[in-house]
Amino acid sequence: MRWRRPAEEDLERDIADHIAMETEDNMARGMSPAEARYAALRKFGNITRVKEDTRSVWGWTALDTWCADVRHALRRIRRSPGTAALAVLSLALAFAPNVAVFSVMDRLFLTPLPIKAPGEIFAIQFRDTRPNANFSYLPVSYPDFQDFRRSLKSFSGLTYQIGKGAMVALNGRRMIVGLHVVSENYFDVLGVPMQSGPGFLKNRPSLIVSHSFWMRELEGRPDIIGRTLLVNGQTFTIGGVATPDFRGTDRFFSPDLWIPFETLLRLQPGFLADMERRDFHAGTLWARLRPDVPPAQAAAEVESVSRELAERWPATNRYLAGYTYAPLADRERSGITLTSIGVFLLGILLAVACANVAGILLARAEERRHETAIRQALGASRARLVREWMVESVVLSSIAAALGLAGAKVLMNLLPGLLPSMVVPIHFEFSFGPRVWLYAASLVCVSALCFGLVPAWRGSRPDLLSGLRRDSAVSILHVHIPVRSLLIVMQVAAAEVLLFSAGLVLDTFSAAQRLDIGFDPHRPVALAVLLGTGEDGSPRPVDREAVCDRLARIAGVRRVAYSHSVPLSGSGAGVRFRLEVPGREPRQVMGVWAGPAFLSTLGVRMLSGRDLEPADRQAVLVNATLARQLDPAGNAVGREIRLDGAIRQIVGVFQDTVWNTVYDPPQPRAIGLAPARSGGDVTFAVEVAGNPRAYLAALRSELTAAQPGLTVASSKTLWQHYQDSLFMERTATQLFYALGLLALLLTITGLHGITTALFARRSKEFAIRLALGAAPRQIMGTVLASGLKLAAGGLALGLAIAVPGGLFMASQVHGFSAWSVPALGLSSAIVMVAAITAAAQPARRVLRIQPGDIVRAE
Amino acid sequence: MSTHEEKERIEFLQGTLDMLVLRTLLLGPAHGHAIAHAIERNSDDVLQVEQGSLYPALHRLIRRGWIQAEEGLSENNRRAKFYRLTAKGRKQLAIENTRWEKFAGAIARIMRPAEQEADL
Repeated sequence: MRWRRPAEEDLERDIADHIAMETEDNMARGMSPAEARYAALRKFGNITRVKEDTRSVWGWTALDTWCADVRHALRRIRRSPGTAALAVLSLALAFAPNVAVFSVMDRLFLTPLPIKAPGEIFAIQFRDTRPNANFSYLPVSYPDFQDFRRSLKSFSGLTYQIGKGAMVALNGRRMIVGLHVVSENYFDVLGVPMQSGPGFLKNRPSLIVSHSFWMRELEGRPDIIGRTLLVNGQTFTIGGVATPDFRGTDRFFSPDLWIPFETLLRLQPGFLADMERRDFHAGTLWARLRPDVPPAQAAAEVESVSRELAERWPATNRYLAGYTYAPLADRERSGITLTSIGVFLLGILLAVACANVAGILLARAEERRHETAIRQALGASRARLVREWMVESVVLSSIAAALGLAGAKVLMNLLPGLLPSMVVPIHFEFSFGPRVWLYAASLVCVSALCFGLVPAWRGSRPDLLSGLRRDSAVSILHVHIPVRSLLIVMQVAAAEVLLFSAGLVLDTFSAAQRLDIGFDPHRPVALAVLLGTGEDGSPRPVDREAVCDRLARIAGVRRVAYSHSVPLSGSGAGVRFRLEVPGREPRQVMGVWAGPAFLSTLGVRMLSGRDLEPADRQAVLVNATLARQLDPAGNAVGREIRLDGAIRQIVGVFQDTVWNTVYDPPQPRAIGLAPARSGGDVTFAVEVAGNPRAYLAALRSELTAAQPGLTVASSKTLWQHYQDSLFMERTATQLFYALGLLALLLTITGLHGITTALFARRSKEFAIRLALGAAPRQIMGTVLASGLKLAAGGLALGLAIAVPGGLFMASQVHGFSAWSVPALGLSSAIVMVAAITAAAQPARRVLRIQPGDIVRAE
Repeated sequence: MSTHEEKERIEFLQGTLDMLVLRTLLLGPAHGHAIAHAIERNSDDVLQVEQGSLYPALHRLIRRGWIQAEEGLSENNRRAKFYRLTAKGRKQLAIENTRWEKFAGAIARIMRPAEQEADL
């Protein structure tokens, strides 16, 4: 407290001056010096009290006692470093995953989009009004967007976005980035400001870069506005840098660039061809409602405009009804729900850690009974003692929080490495935002209250008589067995809840793995994606035949196939074909351009007919669902259909396969032989002899050699590809098991502690029994049983909570496994084995009892 | 603790000491000892200040910005800390003054109602 020393000295001098003056006055009145000084002091009053009163005016006394309490707490912690370390470690182990998971959820679910008045933002989509439509909901196509934009009066602005991948060439490096092509008014409609720059430029091709891209690739240089960037071989001027908190409107996909439609349509004929199609249903239409228009009125206007469109463009729009919805509000709600579930589960882990620390502190309260009794004898109030305990708890908790935050940082740095490799890489940047700090601070307070209050209350109980006697035999009888037992039961229950939930998640995961995906992920196949863009990023078709020839020459390769789209690649589901059948409405089906024998290479079964062959220019394959729709009698092979205007003959029917996710319901799908030199990215599938993993390096190098200048975006085995599509499920399973095992680890230490305490309490009794001839085995059984009884109680309580909880989760989350015998058995077995291990060590101490020593000690 | 003794001591009404200090300083800067004596003398020794209690009051007034402390020399050439009324303190004194007059008047009306009736 050096900073307040001058004030103290000042007051001291002031008082001394005062007394000196009074003394002089008194002497002037004729008193003797000693008398004068005494009278002056009497007149002044209690100097210490005056100083205290003045200090309290300064407002430092409260701070002073708090500082003293903290110093005292630190001293007490230093005095028993072992137990303090155990307590801090327990808490830190719970804090680290808590903070890490919360900060991920904060970033994904809680951070609101930095959009002006998000309540006014609606999305517009189409609903297919036919009862058996292939797609119930369809995004609005670009021409439809333009019509909506011209007609709708309820909205102050409409804007359109579509996601794409693009190749950026920068400083001699090429990189694939995700971008959003948007209408020129995008940032105005959403009300998102630029961090720097004017935004999209009018007179030349321009783009806006994300803050992340600017920092990552452009070194955050301030002079970047007006410079150019090469995207897909074309030069764009950087018109602006977005603010750091605007990462696009998608939760998981953060675009690095925004490019206006008008520019890209002019520069890329292929893109223009897609965008001109009224039946090219992709993209998102955002609309900002006028503040004075009720949402219902706007919805009615959207419907009526979509009816006009249906009349004007019957071929494409006859069955499409426009409707509005508020995705941002829905998203906020679901985000809060998901976060609450997460916080609850993490809270269980924290509760286990708190119970552990409470047990440790209770034991410590026992050790301090003598000290406490002395202080009480000297007049320390209970409130004062409780306060000291609580300060110590907060100090412990704060140290643990510091460690936990550091641990969370480490966990989060590991995170990007866990993400599956993708063609368009994901850049996750995590930082601890204000909500995370607040969460960590509340964890400190809540946990300190949870684990500190009971020991504080118990440890400050007035207990002079037995406390002052230094009598270990008496004090052991006072070990807080009932409270600690209750804590252990709760810990075991919590560990069981987490492990049982982990079992259910594992069950859900394995159910997803058992789903029929229509191809065989175990086949020895290696996949590699070759991007159809040149060195400068401009489109360049892949010479597929040349590549196939070259790959076929790799020793051990049995078959080479290719396709523009493969199942479960996550990036788009191929193209949409316009299907015309005589006597029926034309409609859309999902389609894929593939090479010969592609399906066979993936192990997709042909139900009838044959796979595509190199000469099959006019042939097409359909899947079982489409075949059934075309010919319910089951004779689809040989029929002719019109796809995108060209007559094609069905040569084979293949089993239904999933395409986007493993949960896809069967959708009608057609596969045609890719045109001779079509552009776009190509995935090559190589069937090999032996382990496909061994071929990945050769595959990459041969692809680069066959098509110098093109980029190999990703290469993995078919099995990896399949596993990557289940990334979320696998991560959830691992996370749950990690939490459960962590909880169990904490529980074991607690259980071990209490069994040891129980043993210590009864050691004299055991010694007497041993002396009277009891078998050690029998007594070991008693100790073991006391531990196991607690574990069994905890297990029962845990199941009583976990089973209804699982049923509730299953009712909330589609496909979640509500009940599973393996989950029940596995979790119970793990908990019981852990309990036996924890209790066995103290039980074995029975063998070391020397009856003579203990009885003599009396 | 000498709680018994404390109860017997005649204490100033809450806040009165502050007002008296301000009033005293209106005449010019003074050190602590001088202030205590001024209060005693000006009240014809009716008000006996326990001189020590002056210091918490002085520091409270400094905190509120009504007075400020400065170094100076006392009448017999000793170095001492002088307290001076600030502009804010001057305003405060006016407020306290009015409040005190109202308060004293009210008390007086309650304590001497009979005399007033007799006057009628």
